[in-house]
Amino acid sequence: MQHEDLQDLLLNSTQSINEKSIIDITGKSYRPDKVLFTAKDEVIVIDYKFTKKQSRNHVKQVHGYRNLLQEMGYPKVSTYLFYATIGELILV
Amino acid sequence: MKAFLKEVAEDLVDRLGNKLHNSAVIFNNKRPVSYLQHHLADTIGKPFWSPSFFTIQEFFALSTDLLIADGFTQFFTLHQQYNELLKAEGSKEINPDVFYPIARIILSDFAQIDNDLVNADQLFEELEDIAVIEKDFQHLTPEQQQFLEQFWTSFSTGKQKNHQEQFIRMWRRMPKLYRGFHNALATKGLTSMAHVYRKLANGTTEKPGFIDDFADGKLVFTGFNALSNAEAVIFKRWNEAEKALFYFDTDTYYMEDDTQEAGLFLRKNIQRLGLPNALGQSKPLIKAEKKEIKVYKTQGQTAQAKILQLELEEDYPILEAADNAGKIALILADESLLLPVLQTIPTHYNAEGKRIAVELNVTMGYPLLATSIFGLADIWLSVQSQLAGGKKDTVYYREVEAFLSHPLVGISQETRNTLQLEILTKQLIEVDIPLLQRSGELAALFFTKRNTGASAIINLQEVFKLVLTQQVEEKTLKQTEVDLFIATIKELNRLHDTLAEFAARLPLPFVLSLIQKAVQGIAVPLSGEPLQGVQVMGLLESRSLDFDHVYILGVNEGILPQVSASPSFIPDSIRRAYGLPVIENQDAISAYMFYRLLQRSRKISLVYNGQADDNTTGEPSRFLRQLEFESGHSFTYFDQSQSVATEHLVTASIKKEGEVLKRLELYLDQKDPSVRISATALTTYLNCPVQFFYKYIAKIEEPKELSENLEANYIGSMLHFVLEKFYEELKAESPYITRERIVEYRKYLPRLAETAFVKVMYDDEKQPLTANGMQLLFLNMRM
Repeated sequence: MQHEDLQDLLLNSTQSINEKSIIDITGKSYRPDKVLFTAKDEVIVIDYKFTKKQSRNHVKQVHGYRNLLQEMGYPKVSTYLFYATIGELILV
Repeated sequence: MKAFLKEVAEDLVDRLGNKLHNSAVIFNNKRPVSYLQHHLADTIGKPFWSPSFFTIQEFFALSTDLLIADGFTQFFTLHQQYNELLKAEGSKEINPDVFYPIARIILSDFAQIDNDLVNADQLFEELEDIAVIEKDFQHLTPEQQQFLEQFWTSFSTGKQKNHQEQFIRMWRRMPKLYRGFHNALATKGLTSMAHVYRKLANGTTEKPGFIDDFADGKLVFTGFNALSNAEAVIFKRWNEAEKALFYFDTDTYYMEDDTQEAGLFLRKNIQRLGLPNALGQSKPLIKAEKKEIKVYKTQGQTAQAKILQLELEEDYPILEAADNAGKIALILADESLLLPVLQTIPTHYNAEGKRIAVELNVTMGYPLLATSIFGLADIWLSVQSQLAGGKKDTVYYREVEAFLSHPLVGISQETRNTLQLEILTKQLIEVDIPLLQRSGELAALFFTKRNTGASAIINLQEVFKLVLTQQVEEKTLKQTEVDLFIATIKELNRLHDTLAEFAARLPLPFVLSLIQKAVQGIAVPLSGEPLQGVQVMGLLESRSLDFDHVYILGVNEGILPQVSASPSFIPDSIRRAYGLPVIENQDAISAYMFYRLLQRSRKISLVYNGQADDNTTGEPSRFLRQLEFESGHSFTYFDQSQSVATEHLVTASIKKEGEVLKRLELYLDQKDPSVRISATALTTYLNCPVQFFYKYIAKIEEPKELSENLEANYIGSMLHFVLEKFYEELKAESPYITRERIVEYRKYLPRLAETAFVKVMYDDEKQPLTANGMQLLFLNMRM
C-alpha cells in the first residue's frame, strides 16, 4: 500500500474503521474495507480490489455503501476504489 | 407475542444507543445472529454500525494465540502420550485402532474436567481409590457395578479380574496423561477448546486483554441456559466488573416452581450466581394466552413427516406476511427425520387460484450419509478392506455388482453388460482385479490395491475428483451434491495431512475406519434464505428463536429427553461430587428447549411415533404428559389410522389356441419324448396355472444368477446328469446290467461328478473345473 494518494487520505483522517459491518433496514449486513473520518466531517470509503480490470459492479458496490452512510447521518461521503494489483486509486 | 430477540434488540438499543457498535453479542450458536440483526434493523429504522457477533467458542478462542486442535490431532496426540507412559512402565505399546474407542471417552472426560474446572490430580486420585475398593466389590450398588463392568469389557476381553487390574492401571496413568496431553498440544501451538475455557476462568490466558476491544460497549450474552463451571466463573467476573449484559429467556412457568426441571439452570444462574437478567423479572408466557395445541400419534417413524402435509398446506398462507421469518418452524427432536421431512413436506400451496412456492430453509445441513456419494465411498471402503487383508487380489462379486450399478460411476450400458456377462458365464464369485480394471478409467482407479493409509486416502480422493469431473461434464449434479463432493475431498485432504504428521505406519484397516468416520460425519449447509419461509432445524438450533406455529417431531419418550448419556470413565457418584454433568442435567436442558419453544407460539403441533419398535417405545414424551397435566391448555388429539384392504382377486385367462395350443399338444405326442410333463411342471401347474404358462409354454426363463452355494436345483440337475451318464455308459458296454457291474462301475463316479458339475455350472463340459469351498465339499461327497 505504498500508494502516495492513498497515504494522503489515510494521514488526513482522524478516525479509521476497518472491516466493520453496516446493517441496512432489512437486517442485511455490508462490510466496506475501510471507512475514514476527516476533521471536516467528511467520510471517505475505500474498497480494495484485487482484480486487474475495473468493473461497474465495484462502483455500484461502493455507491451502495455511500447511500447507507448517508442514511446513517453522514452527509458528505466520497468513495474510492483501490486496485491493489495495478496500484491505482480511483475516485468514483 | 414479541419474539425474545425482538425484546433483546429493543433493550439493547435503549441501553447502549450509539455504543452498540462497540459491543460484542455472544450466542450459543450462529443461528440467532441473522434474526437479531433483523430485529435491530427493525427497531432502529435506518442503517447502523453493527455490533460484533460471536458464538461463545469463537469469542473465548480470541483469548489465546494457540489454535484449537481438531479431533484427529487430539486423538493422535493422546495416543502418543499414552504410549510414552506405557513405555516408561515397561509395557507394550497399544495400537491406535485398539486405543481409538478408549481415546474418545478419555478426551471427552478431559474436556468435561476442564469445562467444569475440576482438579485432574485430585479427581483421578479419588477414582483410583474407588477402583481399589470396587475391586473387592464393597459398598457398591448394582448399577455402579454394572457401570464399571461395562467399561472393563469395552477395552479387553480377558477374565474379569484381569479387567479390573487393567482398569486400575489405566487410572494411575490418567493424571500424567492429562498433563502430558495438554503440554504436547501446547508445544505444537495447539490447545483444546475446553482448556481455553479453563485458562480463561483461571485467569491464566495468553491474551487477557482481548475484551478491551469492547471496552466502550458491553459483552452481551444472549439466550444462555446451562453454564459450565468455567463459564459461570467467567460470567460472574465480567458481571462484577460491569462489562457484561445477560439476556436470559425465562418464564414464570418454570422459574417460580423449584421442582420444574426446565428452570434448573436459569434459577441457578440468576439466584445463585447472581447474574442479573437484563430483561428484568420473569413474565408468565406459556400461560398468558390461549394456545392451540395439537397432538399427532402416527403409525411408524417416517409417517411423522407425512402426516403434516395437510396442516402445513393450510398454514402456508401465513407466510405471505412481508416479515415471515418467525412464522413456521419444523423442529426435529429426532434428527433422523430430516430426510422424510425433505421428501414430503409440500413445497407449494394454492391461494386465489395461484400456485405459490414456499421457501424451505434447512439449518441442519444435508448429510453425506443420505446420498449416493456416501454409497460410492462405502463400496470403495469395502473393496479396499477386502484387499487390505493381503490374502487376495480379487474382489467379491457383490461389491462389483454394486459398483457397476451405482448411479455415479457413469459406466456405459455396454461395458457393464460385457462385464456382468463374463462374471455370470464364468461364475466368478471372486472377480480378478485386471478384469475389473478393463472397464474404464474410474474402474481402474477404484479397483487398485493400496498398501498404505496415505495412498488409500489419496486414492479415494482421486476417485471422487474423477467422478465429480465426469458428472459436472454431464451436468447431472445438483449444487448440494457438488458441495458435498467438495466437502468430502477437503475432509480427505485434512485427514491425509493429519495422518502424515503423526504416524505413517498406521495399519491400513485402521486408516480405512478413520476414513469412514471422517466421511460419514460430513454435512453441507442447504441453501435457503435464512429469514424466509419454513424453517427446518434440530432442537439445539432452535435456541433463542421464536415462531408463531411450532411443529415438533419425534416427541417420544426416549428421544425427548434423550436417555443415553455419553460414555465416560468417571463414575456417577464422583461426577456428582465434583459437579460434572449428570443425566438430570441433560434432561433439564432438553426440557428448557422444549418449554421455551412454547412460550411465544400461538399454535403448537406435537408429533410422535405411536408404534413401538427397536428404536422407540411408542410412548409420547413425558414432557407432553406433564404439559397436559400442568398447563391448563386444551389439547386436540389426532390418531393416524391406516385403512387396510386385501388385494382384489385377478383372473387372467389365457386361451388355448394358436401357438399355445400347439405347444400344449406337444405334451400329448407320445412319439417325441423330449416334451414330457415332469413332476415339477405338474406341481407348478397345480400351484398356479399362469406360472405354468409363463415357464413351460411361453418359456420365459428366470435370469441366470451367480450361485455362491449350490442351490438345490443345481444339485438335482447334477444328480440327474450323473445317473443318466452312468447307465448310458454301462448300457453302451453291454445291455445286460447286473449288480456286480454297477458296483464295479462306481469307481468312475468322481469323473462323472466333475463333468456334471462343469456342465451344470458353466453349461459347457469342457470348462476347467474351479470350485469354491461349498462346491468342493459337495464334490467330495461324490454321491
